[in-house]
Amino acid sequence: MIASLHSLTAAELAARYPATHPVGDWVRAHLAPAGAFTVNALIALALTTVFVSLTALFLVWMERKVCARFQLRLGPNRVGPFGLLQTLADGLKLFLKESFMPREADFFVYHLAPLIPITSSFMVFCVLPFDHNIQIADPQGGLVYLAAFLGMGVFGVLLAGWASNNKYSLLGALRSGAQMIAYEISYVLCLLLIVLASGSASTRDIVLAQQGTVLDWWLFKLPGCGALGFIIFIISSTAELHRAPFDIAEAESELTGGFHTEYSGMGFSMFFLSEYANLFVASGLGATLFLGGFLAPQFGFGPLDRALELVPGCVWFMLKVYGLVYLYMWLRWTFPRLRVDQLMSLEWKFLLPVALGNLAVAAVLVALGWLLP
Amino acid sequence: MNITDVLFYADAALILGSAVLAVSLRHVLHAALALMMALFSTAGLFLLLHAEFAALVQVLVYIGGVVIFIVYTILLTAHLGEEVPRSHPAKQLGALAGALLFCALLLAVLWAGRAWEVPAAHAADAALAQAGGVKGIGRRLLSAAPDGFLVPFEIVSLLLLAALVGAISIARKPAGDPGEGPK
Repeated sequence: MIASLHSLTAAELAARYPATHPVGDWVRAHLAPAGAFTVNALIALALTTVFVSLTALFLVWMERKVCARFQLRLGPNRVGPFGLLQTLADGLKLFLKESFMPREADFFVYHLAPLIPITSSFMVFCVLPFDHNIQIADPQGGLVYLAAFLGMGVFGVLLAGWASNNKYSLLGALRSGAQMIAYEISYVLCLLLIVLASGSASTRDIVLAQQGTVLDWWLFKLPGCGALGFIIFIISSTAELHRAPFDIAEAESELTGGFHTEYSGMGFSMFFLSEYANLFVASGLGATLFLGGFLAPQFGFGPLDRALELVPGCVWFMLKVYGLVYLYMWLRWTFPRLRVDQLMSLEWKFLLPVALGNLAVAAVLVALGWLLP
Repeated sequence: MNITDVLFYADAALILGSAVLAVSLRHVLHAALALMMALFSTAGLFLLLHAEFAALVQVLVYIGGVVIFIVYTILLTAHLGEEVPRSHPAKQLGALAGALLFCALLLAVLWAGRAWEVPAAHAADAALAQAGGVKGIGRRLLSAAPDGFLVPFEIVSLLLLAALVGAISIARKPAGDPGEGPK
């Protein structure tokens, strides 16, 4: 029913956007099925590890540079060209630092907590479609998977705050727990909006459902609903990421650092790494759901469209992702922090009703077949 | 013994081990973590049965919802650092009797159904995966056909609405009570 609205049939889509990557095909051709399965999974794991680490290093540098621009400073500019190696030096310093644990802290939980957020970021990376054939897994329920594992990150914060045996940490953890549980509702309602529009919960199918010109991206479709959904998505994902203006979990001026106050060395860097990995994941999700993911932007003008199509999909994906990353940084360095009560009333009294109403209107529009702007 | 069997036994051992820890650990938060592990490995069991949607919902609802609320509530209690006192021997005996009765009933049901003699269970894997995926479940859940679950689904959502209204009416301040905080 919904699939007929898109210009290409399933067979044409499969021919145009093959799901398998040449490297994976080569491995499958040269090894037995079980061996190929293992080798491909190991390649994917190694690539993800390298990619996540490099991305986090780059994003920390980018955050400092963008922040410096907003505050009329220069930012890091001594280590390496444009200060690019500054985060590497900082990371090395964190690596060599002694890891302190408060005497009365709970040993097991204290050491478990920093591993949970980074694990959930890695799990979520598996379903991001970097290109039509660069995606580790494409489960049918991709967005349910995303919602499930994004929600797991809050465990790390709650447990870290408690295990530190520090009242500031515990306060930060409780605040952030309440915040993440609240904003997750609007977040998931945005995912639901896209599932409704695309008729699929697989991230790859969602991107392929946005075929056509730029106006076919879900951001512009479903007159008004797509754009409103995008705004709600940006607000609620900023809250899920604990970034300013929603950083009450850390709130340097009130809680000295919140849940990670008592962490040093590698424990702290794990939290830091997952924070920036999650920033990339949120932007990647925004690009996939609302901005056509790996599809090249098309403007309905022949020669220009064909020229844009020559650029590989993963380049478009990264460009869209970094556009959104810049948007998150822009928000962070522009708005002052909200109070706890303001934060809660924003979600429960404003965002949630608006997201629910948006979903209801979108459902009517989809039922009537009015997808176009 | 193929790879599925190995995975099943590893997962079952994990579930049983963490379930035993969840009821035997003396520290409340550690017990909650063991419960989380047990629920998480149950999702693995669903995956082995090709019930992708059930596995995802298991993680989403039990880990992301139930256990988070349990941990959150534990963090709000004042007696967090203390260990739970050992329960009365009579209670332990009662629990043991209950567990034995459950095992007996389970064996009886399994024996009556001969559950281990499922012929060629893996022949229909693809069809199972289709039926257990998001699309298959979603279609049946909202279908008015005889095999659909539209009416139970709507009744359950009504129940959920009633629970929400109840929660709000309990949480709201009585009329005329200015409550605490700045006025």
